[in-house]
Amino acid sequence: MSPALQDGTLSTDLSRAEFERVAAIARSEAGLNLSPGKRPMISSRLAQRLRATGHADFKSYLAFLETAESQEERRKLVNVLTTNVSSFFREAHHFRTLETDVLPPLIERARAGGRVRIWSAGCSAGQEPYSIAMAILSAFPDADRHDIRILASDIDEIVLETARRGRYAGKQLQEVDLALRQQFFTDEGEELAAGDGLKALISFRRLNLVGDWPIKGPFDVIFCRNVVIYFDAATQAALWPRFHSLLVPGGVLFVGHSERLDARSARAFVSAGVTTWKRLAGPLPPHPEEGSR
Amino acid sequence: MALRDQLRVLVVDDMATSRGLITQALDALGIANVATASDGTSALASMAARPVHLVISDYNMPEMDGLKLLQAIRANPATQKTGFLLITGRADATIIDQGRGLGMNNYLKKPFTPDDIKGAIEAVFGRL
Repeated sequence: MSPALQDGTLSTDLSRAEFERVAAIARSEAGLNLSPGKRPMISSRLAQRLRATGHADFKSYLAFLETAESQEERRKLVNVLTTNVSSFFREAHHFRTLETDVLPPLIERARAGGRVRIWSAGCSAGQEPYSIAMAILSAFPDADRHDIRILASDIDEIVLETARRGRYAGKQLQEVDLALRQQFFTDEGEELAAGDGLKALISFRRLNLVGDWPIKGPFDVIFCRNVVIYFDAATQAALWPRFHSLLVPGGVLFVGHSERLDARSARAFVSAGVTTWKRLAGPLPPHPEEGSR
Repeated sequence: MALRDQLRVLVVDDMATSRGLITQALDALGIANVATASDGTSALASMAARPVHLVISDYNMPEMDGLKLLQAIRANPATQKTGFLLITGRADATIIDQGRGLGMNNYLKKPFTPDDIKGAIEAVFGRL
């Protein structure tokens, strides 16, 4: 049986039926797919919200969640459910591909006055976009004076605020090459702060991948890693085409190590390495809506 | 307005039954704005008279095959950005590779279902 908290006032025991109700809310709010195997994890994260809102048990918290006034709380719930661990230069092979194959021609274009856009979709606390920015600046120190930018988005406003601040406990950057750390972060006692050089390249914005995307693109590179695993298959299958239509021909999509494009979407891409997909080189067909405006 | 209401499609196939099947499938998807052509030359003429967003063309056609049509579409500045979806038989890996090189946007392998067509279009344009 799941443990009750020591003081006996809160129960962290989430029944199957209650789990189903949470799963239904997560699905309708954000297209999240909570598998029953995640019940213990969901249980402990929900317990955080229980404490924060002062509800005595899951029953009353869930009853509250299902009322019309709980919109704000439902959003916070989605935040705690999607918060996940991230680290700098996670899945290093993607960054090797980025540095050796993908960035060089993009940097050439930016240097020649062209526009380059990279999207970190589901940027969590900012480790991914700052890693991308470090890769760019290492090869292209005056990038901020050219039109090369990173859009970093997440559904979770709390992690997004952390990302904007760009301050990390020193141990989070232990894995980062010392030279990079010294070049791009400033030491502020317990924490390391991302320098203005990195921040100048990144715009942070809240965006729900399942909702409307108020962005035009096109993008040369999209990172969307370890995000869609939280979505059910239908939501995933609907997402790849949207990324595809925002990528330039030949643009690159990086997905997480356990994530796969469904067979239909995979046809519109060419595999370009481990969990790395290149959009077919055909031109970007104008979207019909562009013509009608 | 939904994408399916705006999307103009040209179906190119020398077989009338195939054209009919594809047109029907598009209709079932809510895409009503569909023109057809029975060969590459008339497809190009049709596009010049009335531009489309997407061409769905069979590979196997006499005179001008699907790849030659694709080449002609990409060579003309007026049509070079038109979406192109190639339909091929089962074992046509080299044709698919050639199509990639020439700038097709996606392909469909025969036999396919209306759902496959939907997926192939959505992979290029986003949700219908």
